[in-house]
Order: sequence, then structure tokens, then C-alpha cells
Amino acid sequence: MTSLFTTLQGTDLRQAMLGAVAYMELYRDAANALNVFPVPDGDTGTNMLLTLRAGVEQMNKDAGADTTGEVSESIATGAFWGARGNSGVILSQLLRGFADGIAGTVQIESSDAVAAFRSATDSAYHAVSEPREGTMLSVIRGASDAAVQANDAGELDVIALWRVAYAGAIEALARTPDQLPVLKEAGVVDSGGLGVVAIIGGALQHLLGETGPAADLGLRSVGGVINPHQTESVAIDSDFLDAHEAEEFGYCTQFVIHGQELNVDELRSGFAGIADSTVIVGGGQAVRIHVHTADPGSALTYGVGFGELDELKIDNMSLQNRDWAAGHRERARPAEIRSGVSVIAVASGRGLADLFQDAGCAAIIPGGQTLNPSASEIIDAAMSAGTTDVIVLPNNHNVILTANQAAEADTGEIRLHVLATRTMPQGTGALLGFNPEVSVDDNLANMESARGAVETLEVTQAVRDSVVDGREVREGEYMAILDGKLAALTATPDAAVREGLQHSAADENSVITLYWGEGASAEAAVALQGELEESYDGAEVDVYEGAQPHYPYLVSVE
Amino acid sequence: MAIKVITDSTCDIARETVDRFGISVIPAYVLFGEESYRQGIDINPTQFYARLQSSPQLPSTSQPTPGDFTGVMEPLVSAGDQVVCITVARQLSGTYNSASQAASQFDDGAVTVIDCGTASVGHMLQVIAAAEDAVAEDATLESVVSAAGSRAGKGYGFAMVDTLEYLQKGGRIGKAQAFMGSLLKVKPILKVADGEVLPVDRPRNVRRGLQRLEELVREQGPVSKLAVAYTTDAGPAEEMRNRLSDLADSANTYTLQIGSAIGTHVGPGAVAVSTLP
Repeated sequence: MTSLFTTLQGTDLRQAMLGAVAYMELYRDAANALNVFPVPDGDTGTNMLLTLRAGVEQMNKDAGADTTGEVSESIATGAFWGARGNSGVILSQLLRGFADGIAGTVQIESSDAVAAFRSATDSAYHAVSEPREGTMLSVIRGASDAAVQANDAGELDVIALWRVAYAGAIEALARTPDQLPVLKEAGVVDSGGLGVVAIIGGALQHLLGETGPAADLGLRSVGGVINPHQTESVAIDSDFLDAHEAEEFGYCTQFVIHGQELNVDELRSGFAGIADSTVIVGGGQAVRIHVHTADPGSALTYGVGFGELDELKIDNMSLQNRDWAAGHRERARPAEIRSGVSVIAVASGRGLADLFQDAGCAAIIPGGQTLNPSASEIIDAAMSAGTTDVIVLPNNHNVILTANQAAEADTGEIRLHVLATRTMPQGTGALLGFNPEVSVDDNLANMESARGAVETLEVTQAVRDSVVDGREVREGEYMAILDGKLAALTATPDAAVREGLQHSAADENSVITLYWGEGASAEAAVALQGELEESYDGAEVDVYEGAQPHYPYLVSVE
Repeated sequence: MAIKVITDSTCDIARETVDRFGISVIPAYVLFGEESYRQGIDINPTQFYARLQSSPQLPSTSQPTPGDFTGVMEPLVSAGDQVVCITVARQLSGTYNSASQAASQFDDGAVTVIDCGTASVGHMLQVIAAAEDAVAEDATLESVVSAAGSRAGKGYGFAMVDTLEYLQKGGRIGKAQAFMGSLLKVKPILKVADGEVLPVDRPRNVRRGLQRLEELVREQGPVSKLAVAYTTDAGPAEEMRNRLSDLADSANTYTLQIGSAIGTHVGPGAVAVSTLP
């Protein structure tokens, strides 16, 4: 029996958020797999998950927040600092809007929920300078529009309203390939949109979980249009109960207890004593346990006292959490901030990080597992730079929004300026135009012109089949991406450099720099250097070990 | 009785110019370990760079002593000449101090010491201009000193170095420290003015560096004299001279090889350029 919920409390919102994270975890890989450009970094699903976790972490930290207004504010604040990648930034703005829509509320009614969805939509659209349909923006709007209609029609049950919003989101997701040709061409729905559906659905799942049996949310039916090649990875397990957030590093420990007359409440309070975070459902003869704990052994020992254990799964979360926690450490500030300009850069790969440091960066921000750092990590680096003005080089198209978000945050006397470099070679080009002796405005102008003189060729291996710019890309092929456009598809990374450069402006007057990374070697790079010196007779060809992940070669042509 | 211009050897002024204007040059010292050499007397640039590139130990430089200056000033003052001494920037070298100490031994006004504010090519052009002023028919000490002071206030030199390592080791890197990186093979361009070594730009290679130097010189406005210099490779300096040949006639254009004093700090492969308005 489902009771009528006319209001949601702060605790309900907390539950909903935990559910949202759990679903985002489940759909992370599916969302990652939907990236149209089959490159191995900047994964949408992971970025959204890490952003959401930052929201939950703040929510858990603010244990005293108990009104809906306070809880949503905590979530929005955490997500703001933890936002990673373009999708993470849009999500953080969505959560900000949601919180603004119900600011000051103690509990929310159906009309408040509608206001929250509308405000979330407006805020998400404002997060990007040129909003496009067929993206996660359309999906949150689909949810919002459906909620508005239901409310206008007199729906007073908040959970019923949420269910309508969820259905609206799914419909909007299914429409995305018709709105955005690249999606249609690749045969996928929008990855960020899938994330929004998972979040709204996960929240609903947990709201329902408190009142009745877990419902099949019907996402499986969307699976068919998600990606013809990826149906398995998006098929949903309707019994799914996945992690919610840990407050400590530790092990994500999941298992099922088969026993007799199992009492869920007793198990919940029992596990609460030995684990940080517990989600326990079921009852009777089977209970599913999902806990985060520093000591999985004690959880198993406790569980085995109630019956037989089955479906054991233990994951070490520290790798994921390291990135996430990095965004939340206390901000280190140098003792003195001097009036002046410095530069900080996002760099992935030991060699490239060294190079940016060597060429004069005050701080380097490692990209983390998606190569996309959080707004908070960017701010930390800026605070450590020691000058009043700090120029940020995002060095990745998927980090520019995050850097802008960091620049908008209140950082006191320290001003952040984003020079929107889209690749690491653009970043090194810009950095060479930096001169600490001139004003920040002159620097921004000089560095912008220096970066404009650089063409970037990125070589990486397709991680899945796809269709890009009308060309079929097969998993395993090497793609030569020239300033964001697919220039060549080849069987080897070296051939990708050669063929890719033919589409560039490289000539005998160029300076060509090969940064070799994972998947290439010093020998191969030096051999390629010799070849290029011959092909572009007179050009200067430099070789440097960037040690960047995923990209055997990054090439700059100046 | 005449107005005589003297200077230190760090400006690498050519022998024929010195002879033409009757300029006296006080040599600075370069030291390889315990061995001390007088610039241009005990060691010439060819010998110096050969040693610089083969010696396991970097040389150090030392300013002329006050006694060295006195030795040159004394006979001139005794002959009734008025002496104008133009030295390398005092923030970069103790030469100005040595010269000032020597000057203080003479009557007021006998010897005027001027800090040129820069070094090398910029320094040399100021010495030549002062020497020309000094032999002008209506020259007075006041007019020569005042013109020299005004040029010193605006004196500059641009240098493109192969590496900042030598400037750093010699302790003269100043604000150019910001360009210290060595992983990318850039050719840092520096400006020496107001006694400071300032970072200007980081071109990726010599070709682009020369292009940039040309732009920088042209931004300086009208030119009456032009000087280019090099440490080990005359080619880029010649190219620089050709690029700028429309700015000054050949009689007012100078090419010089940088010797041991500045060479110790800029290293092999450096190119420098300066102008006077």
C-alpha cells in the first residue's frame, strides 16, 4: 500500500539524495559509454558521479541541517565546489537552482517541488553560454514541464509528482537523438541526460523505498534507444541497491543474507554500529546489505550470524574517493599574497606537469581520473599561487566551465582569470606568452594571441565503435584529432601523427613539438621526429616525454 | 685641455672606435678558478669562449679596482683634461663604485662618473655618443654630461640568450628568473634597462626570436645609432643587422663580439641589440 505524501521533509531529501548517488553509480559506465567522441577521458558519468558525491559529502557534514531548505542548500554548496567537467558544472548549477527554488522551506509540498524543478531548469540553462537542446538541459526541462503540468492538474502528492517528473525526464531523454544530429548519427541518447534521469529516478526509488516495495522504474525500456551497441551495460537491475556515500575511505561491501524471519530494522541498527554508511533492504528470507566500512571482515562476520551469505562484492573505494576528497581538504593559503600575476594549469601526465611547472606555473592541478579536476581543486591551486591575480589554464575543453565556476566563487582578494585553453599544447603556447612583469590584462591578451598561434593534434585510440563527423570509427583505431575535429583514422599512433599533420598548417617554418605519452615510446617518438624533419624540411621538431595518459601523442604545431 | 671619455671593457667597444675617439678603456677581470685575466688584454673572446665551453668550472667576473681607474684618470686629470667615465649599470656590477671611489680622489668636477643603466651594446652606444659630443667644437663638460645622463636614463639593450643558466649562476638573473624553465627549448628575450634584467618574451627558436627582437627595436621609435652583438655565432647578429639596415646608415651601425665580462653572464649563442634615438 502506498500512502499519500503531501509533503517531503529534510530527511526525505537526504534519502532522495542518497538514492540519486546510488543510481548515478549504477549508470556511470552507461553514461560514460555514451560519449559520442570515443575518447577515453572526460567521462560524463564519472564527472556527474563525483560532483554528486561532493554534494552528499557536504550534506553529511552538515548533519544539523534538517529543513528541506537547509539540506538542499548543503547539497548545492558541496556540488558547486566539487563540480568536474562540463556535465558536472551543469549538474551543480541544476542543484543550485533546485536549492534556490525551495530556499527557506522547512518541508516541501507539491507546489514547492514544482518551483524547485523549474528553478533547477533555469539555473542549468544559465550554466552554459549557448544552451543546446538534446542535452541534459532538455532532460531536466522535460522533468520540470511534466511536474508543472501535473501540479496544474491538481496533483498534491509530492512523490506522485516526482514520478511524473521522472517520466517526463525519460521521455525527454528518448527525444535527444532527434534534437541533436550527432547523437542520432552515433545512435545514442545524451550521456548527461541519462545522468539526470538516473538522478531523478534514484531519488524517487529511495523515496518509494521508505514507503513500499522498490518499484521497477522502467528505465529498461529506454535501454533500447540508449545505444544499440551497449544494451547490456545499461540494462537495469530492478533489485538494484547500490552504494550511497561514505564518510570515510574504505570498502564498499555488498552481500545478500539468506535466512529466516530476517528483521531489517534490527540489521540496520546492527550494521550502523560497524559501518559508516548502510543501505539495507528486503526482509523475511533475504536481505540485501550494502555498507561502506573500513573493515569489510567485521561486516561479513556480523552478517553471517544471521544466515548464509551470497553475492559477495567488495570494492576498495579509495581510488575513486581520492579525487573526490581532494576537492574538500582545507584550503591551504600561503602566508603572504603579493600583488601580481601568476599562472596555474591543469595538467595530466608527469612530464607535462613538470613542463608546466618548469615553464613558470605557480601550481599544477592534476586532472584526476577523468582528467577533469573539480572547481574546488582549481580554487585550492589558485589560493596557493601567492598572487592577487591568477590566470587559470584549463587545457581541456571539458574543464573550461569548471574553471569559470571556480572564477565566479568568492575567493576574497584573489581574482581568478580563465584563459580558455582547450588542449595542453595550447596551454604551453599560452604560458610562453606569460610575463609576470606586465599587467594581468596585457598578459591575458598576449597569452590569448600566443595560444592562437598553436594548432593541436591529439592522437588516441577509439574506446568503442562510433560515428564521428559522418565517419565510422572502429574500436581500437587511432584517431588524429586536429583542434577538436577528426582529421584521420589509422592503424598506428605514428601514422595518426603523420596523416593528421597533413591536415594542419605545418610547413618548413613550423615548430612541431611531439609530447609522447602512454602507448608510445621514446624510440618511436625519436624515429617520428626524424621522419617529420624530413617531411617538413627546415621545421624544428622537438620531442618531449609528456607521460600523459590515454594519448600516445599530443602534437603542437606553431 | 679636452673632455675625455673613458669606460670599462664590459661594453666591448671595438679597438678602431677607441682609437678614433681617443677613448680610454679600463679592463674588467675574468677568473677561471685562481687564474685572473684582464679582458681584451690577457684574453680575447675566441680564447674566452673556448675556455668557457671546455672548462669544468664556470668563470667569474670582477670589476676593475679603484686603482685601475685611478691609473687611467690620473694622467688625464694631470694634463688638465675633464674626464667623463661611463660605466656598466651599477646594479649589475661594482664597476661604477670603483670608478666613483677613484673619481673622489680628484678635485670636484675633474671626473664625472655616469651609470649607463644598461650593459653591452646599449652601454657602448652611449660611450660613442658621448665621445662624439666631447669632440664637438662647442662642447662643454656640462653639455656632454647632461646629454650622457639623459641617454643613460633611456638606455636599453635587448638580448636573446640560448639559456638563462649563465645569468642565474652569475647571480644577475633578476626578474628574468620567471623565464628560467629549460624543458622547452625556448630562447628567452630579456631587456636590460634601469639596471634591471627584465623578462620580455620566450620565442620557440632563433628565427622567431630574431623576428621578435626586430619588432621590439622598431617599437623604440627613431634611431640614430644601432648596435648588434653576439657571443659565439656572428650569423644571427648579421641577420639582425640586415633586418634593421633601414634604421641607421652603416657609419652609425656597429657589430661587436661580446667578450668575457658579459659573456660569462649570457653564455654562448647570445645575440644582443640596442639603438640610440
